Amino acid sequence: MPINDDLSEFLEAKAASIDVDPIDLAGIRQRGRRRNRRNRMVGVGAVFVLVIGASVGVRTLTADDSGSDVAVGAAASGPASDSVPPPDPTVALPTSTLGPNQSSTESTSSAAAVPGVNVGTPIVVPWGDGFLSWSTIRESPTLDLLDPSVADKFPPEIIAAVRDAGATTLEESVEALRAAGLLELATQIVTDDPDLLDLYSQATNQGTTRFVAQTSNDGVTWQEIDTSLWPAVSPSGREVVSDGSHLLIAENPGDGGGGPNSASTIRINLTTDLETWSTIDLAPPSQFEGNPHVRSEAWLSSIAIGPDGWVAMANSNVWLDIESLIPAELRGVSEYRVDYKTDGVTIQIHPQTPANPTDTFTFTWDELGIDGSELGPDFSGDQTITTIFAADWDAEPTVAVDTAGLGRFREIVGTDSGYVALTQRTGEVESNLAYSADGMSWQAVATPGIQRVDALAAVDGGLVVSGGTNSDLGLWLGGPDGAGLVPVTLPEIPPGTSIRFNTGSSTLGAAAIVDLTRYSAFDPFTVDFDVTIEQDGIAVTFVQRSDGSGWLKAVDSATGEVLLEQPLGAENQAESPVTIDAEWLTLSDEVGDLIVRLPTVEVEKKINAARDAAIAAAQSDRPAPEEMVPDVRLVASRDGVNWLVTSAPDEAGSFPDAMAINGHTLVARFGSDFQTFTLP
Amino acid sequence: MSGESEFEQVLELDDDGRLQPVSMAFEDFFAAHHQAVLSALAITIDDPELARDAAAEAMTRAYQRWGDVSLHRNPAGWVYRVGLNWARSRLRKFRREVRRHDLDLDRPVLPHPVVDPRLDAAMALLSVDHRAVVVLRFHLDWSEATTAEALGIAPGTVKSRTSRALSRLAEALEETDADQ
Repeated sequence: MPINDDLSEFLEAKAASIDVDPIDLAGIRQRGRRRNRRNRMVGVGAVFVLVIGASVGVRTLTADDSGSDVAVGAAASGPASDSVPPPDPTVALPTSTLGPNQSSTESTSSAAAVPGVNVGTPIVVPWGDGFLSWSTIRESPTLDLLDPSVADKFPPEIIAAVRDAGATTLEESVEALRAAGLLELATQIVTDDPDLLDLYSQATNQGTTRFVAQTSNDGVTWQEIDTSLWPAVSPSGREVVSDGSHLLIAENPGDGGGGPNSASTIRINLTTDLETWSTIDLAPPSQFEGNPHVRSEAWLSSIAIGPDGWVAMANSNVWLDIESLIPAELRGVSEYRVDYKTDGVTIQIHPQTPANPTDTFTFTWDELGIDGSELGPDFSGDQTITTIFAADWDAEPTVAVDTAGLGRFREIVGTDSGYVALTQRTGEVESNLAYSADGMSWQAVATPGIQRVDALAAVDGGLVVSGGTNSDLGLWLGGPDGAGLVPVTLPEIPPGTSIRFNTGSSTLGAAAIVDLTRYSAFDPFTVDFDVTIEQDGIAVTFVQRSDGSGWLKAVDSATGEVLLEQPLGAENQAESPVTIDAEWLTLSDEVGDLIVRLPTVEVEKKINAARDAAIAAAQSDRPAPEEMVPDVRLVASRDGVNWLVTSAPDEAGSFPDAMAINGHTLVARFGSDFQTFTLP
Repeated sequence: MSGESEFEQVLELDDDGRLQPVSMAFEDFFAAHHQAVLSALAITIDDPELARDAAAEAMTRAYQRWGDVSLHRNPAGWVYRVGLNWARSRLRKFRREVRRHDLDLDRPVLPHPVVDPRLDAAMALLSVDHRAVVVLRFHLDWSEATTAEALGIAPGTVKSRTSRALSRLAEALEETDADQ
């Protein structure tokens, strides 16, 4: 019979017969939010969004949304959160000295003592022999507490904790909840309730913000510095790098691009003393200058400091302005399908449905003033073009040459001898390395044994690479030109872990937070069990162990004499004293005389029951499914040879917002607080 | 995009004049597809409880990255594939850890009164790969192209697996008929 005639009907009936609890949308959303929140806690930009109404403080997090695998890293680079207000020189405070809060243990905590709460991603960089850090602070507003409509959503202990502490501001409430060990619970309640989250997010927008920069010689005692002469820096697209004596803050000023051939620019702000700044605007060259059908937008991608200067990398997105190619009356009101071909582009207009195009327009690349090869043979609507600017400290920046054939540059780090770039060729998944002594002329670096590079970090005298093969990831240490990479073994980090460094610290060290957190549902699940069956005065015990071993033992119940002890797995084989058939399990002694016969069905039932009981017991001892087993490590080194691997600092329920290394000291910043570590 | 698909994307212009796929809200997607994904997984892996966990896991991952998943031509295919991979991983792990304690004692399973027990038994003989193409093609009624995209295999592989699965089912039914 034609089987498929009945198959659909059978499958429909089969589906209807499935008896299982439905999936709950609310549960999915809750679990997804919880995971996202956990993931973000590992992100670069932990930022207080203080939440209070019924006197509840909440710490939520923004910025990096990269997922759950790994981590953030050292020093101070990275895009700022969009929520960061630009530092405004007009509101910067005059120089003042903050109270010291000092101790001298290997891992030392200190508070910056700047009143208010971070509302953006804090920055920490090496500066001089110490550190420089800044952030935007929002002063905590005073709040009306105990609004019943909000207070009713929280358990009494949360309300009592804040009330008993006499907290009247967001910040005070957070501190009260943290001290009472209730901050995580409050966070969960608020983040799981969209109405509460909206309400409290509105509350956090109250209060004035100001830009606060501080310096420290040791990472413990911090002094606020005058930033009135600092340039205004936009909150988006910002990259920061310092080698301790030069500080670069790069950005995309304004939106810049978007219009046809708009000259979007990259702005570099440079200082050596934190008082006098030079500003350099860079415009990536466009080969489509003046073409009304091509639009482009450039954005800052990476900056690095080398031994004699700096480099900045910009990516320009170039795309066809389809609207400029169709009649004016159809613009903005039509859906259309665009097919890019090697010789041009075809546009089908769909005023009603995609199946019934009413107009088709075809243009060759020549007609559009575009050489198709300029946009690449695989052009499919938009394309990214990378431009690298390089400059010595006392020279004007110029566009790098000789990058052809090296693929797309993804990031650049400065080393003791020049620059190393992480590159990726078109169509390839694996990434590679390129080196330049001056930022202008680049050549590929051989990486034998390393198919894929995930991240780079410059260290004293060399370069640390995170990568390997898809099945064997690890750390590698090479020279400052990226050559001669040799594996670095960190016993505490499982093989296969991808470690993402932040490379903003130039040549001063590598650090990362590595998240090895697991969910209990994925824990190995093994059980041991045994069962004894009595028959005709003989006790037969079957033993199974989680390492895979198993055996049986027959004992004379009256005398205790062991009559047979035999590993399981060789039943029914020649010379085996154990035979099994559908009816009997038979044990014989070494000369073949019968010891005992057990009914096979009975044996199976009892072994099954014992196994099920052991599994049930093991499951009852396990954490609830999906429960997190947190395991987060701080991995850092100043030279790539000697490493600190320790539990990640978790000062306030989240991981550091920023880290930087200078000499043997690593500083981690949590909101307004700092923690220092001594590196070997 | 080329090739047949039941999930033709709707495109619209963004503010910059670029064509962008129009995504639906996760809640709408969930309401429209979660039951189908769950039943498809349950039949494919022949374990309703594990299928439920797999569907929940896949839906959670879809929710976490809905911005990207929603732009797939067939988000339900993405969820099915993630769920199937997750379930297979769990099955492998479970088998590895429990098999050593298992004496291969089959437990009786009561047949459902409205499900053809002959086909049910025949389906159980198929591999997971073959059941997957059968379920997607004949239960969800997806085309070869959409099934291929969802499973991450070539359309030709879908065709050959479907053919072999149907032959195997027919053979099993003939054997059953001959025994009766």
